[in-house]
Formats: sequence, C-alpha cells, structure tokens
Amino acid sequence: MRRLVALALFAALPAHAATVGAPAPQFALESVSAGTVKLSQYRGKVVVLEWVNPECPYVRKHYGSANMQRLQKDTTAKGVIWISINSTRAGHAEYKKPAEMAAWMKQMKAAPSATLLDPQGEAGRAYGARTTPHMYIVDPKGVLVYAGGIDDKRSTDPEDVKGAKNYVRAALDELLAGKSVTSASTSPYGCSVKY
Amino acid sequence: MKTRHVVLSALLVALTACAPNGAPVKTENAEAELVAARDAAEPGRPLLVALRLKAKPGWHTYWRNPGDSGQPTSIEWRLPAGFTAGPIRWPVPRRLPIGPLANYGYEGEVLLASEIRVPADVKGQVRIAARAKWLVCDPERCIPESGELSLALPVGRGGPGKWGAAFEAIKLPQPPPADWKLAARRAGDRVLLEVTGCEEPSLYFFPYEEGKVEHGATQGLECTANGVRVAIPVSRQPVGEFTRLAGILAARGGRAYEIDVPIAAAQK
Repeated sequence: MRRLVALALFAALPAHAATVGAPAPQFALESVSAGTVKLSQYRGKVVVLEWVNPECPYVRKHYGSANMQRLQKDTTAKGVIWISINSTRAGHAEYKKPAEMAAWMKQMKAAPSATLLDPQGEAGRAYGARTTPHMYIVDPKGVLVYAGGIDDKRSTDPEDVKGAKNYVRAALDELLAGKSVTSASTSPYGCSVKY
Repeated sequence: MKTRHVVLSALLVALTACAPNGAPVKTENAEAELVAARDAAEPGRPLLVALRLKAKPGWHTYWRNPGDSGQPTSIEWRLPAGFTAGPIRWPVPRRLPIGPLANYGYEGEVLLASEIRVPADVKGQVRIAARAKWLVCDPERCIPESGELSLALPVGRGGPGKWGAAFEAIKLPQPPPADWKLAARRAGDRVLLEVTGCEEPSLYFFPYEEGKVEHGATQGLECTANGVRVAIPVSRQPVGEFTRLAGILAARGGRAYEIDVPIAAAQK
C-alpha cells in the first residue's frame, strides 16, 4: 500500500499575506524615534513601505549610491508617506536597537517619514516581505497597488543603479498622475528578511 | 560608531579575487576555479568547462531561481576568437528553508558546467577565462563575491583528466520516464500536478521562474489510483501569468526530471 506523504517543513508565510488589489494589511509598530505608528493614520495618502536591513549588501547598494534617499526625498516632497521597516528579529546578529537604527538612517541621510522596527516580524509576514529591500505601495484608499523590487537590476553593485528601471518611482509617478500602476507586481531581490 | 562606518564602507566594495593561471581563487567564503571535463581541447569538438564553486561549510550559493532571496551565480566568459559558450547546465538544487522563507541553491561544492564550442582550426594551447560572480550566504548573512578565473589547455584529443569523474557525477535533471503522463490544473491557490505512472514516494517541484510558486510553503504529495499528485501552492504575490509548470521535479536520491507542463485553468 502506498503511503500518503506530506512534506511538513517550515511554517510558511500566512495564507492571507498581502495581495495587490486588496486592502493592505494594517499594522502598528514602534518608531525608532517617537511612539507607535499605525498604517491607518495615513489614510488618504499614498504610502510607500520599504523593508530595510542596514547589514544587507543589496540595501547598502541603494543607500551607498544615495538611490533610496533620493527617492525618499523626491516622493515625500510630493506628499507621499515613506515608511522604512526593519523586520530583523531581536536576537539576530543583524538586529538593530531603535537608537542604532535611527543612527544608521541619520548617517545615511535617509529621509523617510518614519523608521519602524518589527522585531516579531508581524508586519513583515503580513505583507509577505521576503527580501531587503522589498517595496510596497498603498494607495489613498488603503489598497495595495504595488509589491515587488526597487528596480530591475538584481545586483549589489551601486553602478547598476544607473540605467535600472526604478519600479517604485514609475509606479508613484503613475499613481500621482491619477493613473493605474502598469507594473504592479515585480520580483523583489535582496537578502532574506531575518525573521 | 566611527569604526562601524569604516566597516560598512569596506563592505560596499564587492570582494573580487584573482589567482595565477589555473589555480583556485580563494575568497573569504568560497573557493572557485575553472575545470574541464577533459585534459585537452579537441578541435571541432564541444568541451564541457565548469565553474567549480565551493562555499565554505554551512554556506551556500544559488540556483538559477534563487527562491525567496539571493542571486544566481553568473559566469561572463572570456574566450579566444571563434569559441562560444552555452548556458549553464544547472545541477539539481536543494531547498534551503530559512524561517518562513526558502532558497534554492547548493551547499558546499557545485560544478556549473557550460558547453564550450571549440573551433576546428584551433592550434597550440587555448586559454579559457571567465569572470564569475556569486552571492554566498549562511543563514545569518550574505556576501557578494567574484573571481577572475582562467584555464589553459593543450589542443589535442586528450582524456577525461583530473575532473572527468566529477563531471560524470553532476546531477542534472533528466527527461521524465517515458511511461509517465503529466497533467497540471489550477485549483484555487494551488496548482495540482498529476503524475500518472509514477510511484515516487517524494517529489518536489522547483520552478525555473520566480513569482510563480510560494517557495516557502509546503508542497503536498498524495497517492492517486495510478500515480501521485503534487499540490503546489501558488505565489501570493505573483509576477506575470502562471500558465506552465516549467522547472524540475526532484525525487529522492538526487534523481530529478525536467518538466514543462501547461496549466489548465480552474474548472468553474
């Protein structure tokens, strides 16, 4: 008699992980500087979520080249809310305490609206965040309208920022012009989120 | 803070290593060299040349689809005039779970072979060179590395040479057995792959493309009247249409089959 075999390995991301076109999962996380930040407080605004880990070479590519900071400045100047989230678990070698994370962002001259820590990985899992960076855009109605990579050049080389198609910039340009997002789902690339 | 800044800046520079002709390149986390299936390049005959990449214990490099994160190893060939290189013949990868995520790659040593076309009029000695780039990771961290590699071979008939047995041992996916019948259909958030005529007690589908399958999720396997059914969870953040199951169906013991099966739409 043949056996029924199930491959029970690791618990996967939750089945209700964020889907493009559906309401974006809510979260409430501690900011590195001041109190709790909830996604719901930005209803009516376009919100960018950026998964970040300062120790990841792919993140360093985009901060070392100032690509990420430039995008943060350009878009927040247009009224977009930018939230950087570090879901590295407390206890991991790459975990940053709030003050350390704040200091790194300051050193990088980063300009997000808020930097949040998610040491339990709740927000990360709810969004299905797999890499750093992994980018999401929530529209003013609270619907997820973009999930994927920062751009189309999978590498750790800062030189590759030039000539790459920045999906997030393109999506925000369309969104702010009242259009729908052409490339709403792309492949994220980077280090794994350290859950 | 100052020390940390210096460390970060240093790490922004990818680690590239070179070695004298033919010797393995040693980086912080891996060893790399070009090796050939035969000890000479025969004019007019294709020659298999591989990047031998050995991650240090506990570390891994990546398959063509790296899974939830990471980056496939790449080889940029530098060949003499008239030579051409085919694509990497990717050996069967391993699934490497990491928390709720999973990567596809190789722990320890892997031979990434390509077929090099040797022109008929080649004489003397040939020098095959390449710049290889790889991301090497352990469960905690990832380091991008690269190496300038080269291999000199005499022209002639030659024999299997030092690496012949290693090439023989490369586990490449094979065509499925002739008596198998494969059919796939969409059923909600899964694709069900029916493999009629198959009695494998374990099968796992490695997709060639990202954004199709939920790499971190468990694939179900159950017996049917005359075969097995693999239930493959579909990516919750899909990229592009998922119309074909194109990839590798891996069984126990390193056996694996290359499949490309159209996915029938869900029945309404």
